[in-house]
Amino acid sequence: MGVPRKPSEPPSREAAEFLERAMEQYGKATYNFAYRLTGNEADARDLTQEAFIRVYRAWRSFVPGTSFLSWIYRIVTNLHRDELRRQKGRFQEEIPEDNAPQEYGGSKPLAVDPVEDYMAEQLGGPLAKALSLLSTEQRQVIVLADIEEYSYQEIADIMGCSIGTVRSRLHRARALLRRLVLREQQQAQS
Amino acid sequence: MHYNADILDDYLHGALGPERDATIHAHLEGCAPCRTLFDEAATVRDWLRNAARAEEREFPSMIRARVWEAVRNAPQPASFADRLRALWRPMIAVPVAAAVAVFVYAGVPGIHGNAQPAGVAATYLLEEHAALASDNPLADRGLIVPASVVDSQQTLDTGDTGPSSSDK
Repeated sequence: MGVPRKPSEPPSREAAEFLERAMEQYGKATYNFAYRLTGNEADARDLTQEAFIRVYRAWRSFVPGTSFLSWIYRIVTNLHRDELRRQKGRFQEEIPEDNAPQEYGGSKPLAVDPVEDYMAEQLGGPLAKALSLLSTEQRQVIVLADIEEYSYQEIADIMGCSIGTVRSRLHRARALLRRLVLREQQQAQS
Repeated sequence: MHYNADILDDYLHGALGPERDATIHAHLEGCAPCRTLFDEAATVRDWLRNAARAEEREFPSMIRARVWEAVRNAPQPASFADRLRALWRPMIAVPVAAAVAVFVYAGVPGIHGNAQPAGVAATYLLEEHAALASDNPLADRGLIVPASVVDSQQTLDTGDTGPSSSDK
């Protein structure tokens, strides 16, 4: 039996202040974290929006003195994982036919490898490209560990898994990134 | 002895205990292959951080607007008291309904499945009595008629014979 919901009411002053302060101080960090996980702005916006709505609904459960950023990263991580589960089995992006040069206005030559070309077009910068090589979980740990600089224990808390799992995901992800980054650096030097 | 890339990654990240950390620190001073591996790990980490900084985005104002819109329009989540009431509703209603059903079943005569309507039982007893009292048990029991019919018949008979007797 579902619990009846109250009709729409204006948010309480305390909740409104909490939400406003949270977006003011942590909106940018949360959005960038979401962007690094999703790899595109539209999904990052949706993810960030949903995360702050959850923050508003559960603002009383936040324990003062603890890290708000860790809390909202945990929310974002869970939302992202849930969204990917929902999308599982469906194609997230359609790769266009490679025999349509008019799509590029005719000025761009037909790609030798259309998939490679498409990836280069779709992904934002080098970081997004690098992160797209990783699985969802690997991307999450790399962003948390190497960009956000969380400890293994903190990452385990955010992701809801063991330190051992964090460590093994990080090692695999770093091995992949090492090859990519070093190759790019060699190409840049030559 | 050389350390593998995973250990050096953990060392770089400060994820090892102080004792092991000191051992690896000393080892890297004198081991060129391990130093190279460690430098590679540091290069990857620095590259990631620099790329992240370069690609950093501002918080879009449309998110703030959408969040406020959603918060104002969404139904309020049920309070703790509402949840408690919703939980208690079946816990109270079900036993009460069961008690009422038992009371009705046990207390009201005629609701039981094996009970017969009073009229049927009386007819049966009347027929049985007539059969036992009859001189000929096999005689047609359809002659048995209700008392009200017998009374009215007798009244009619009396009415018919009255005048004729007076005539006599």
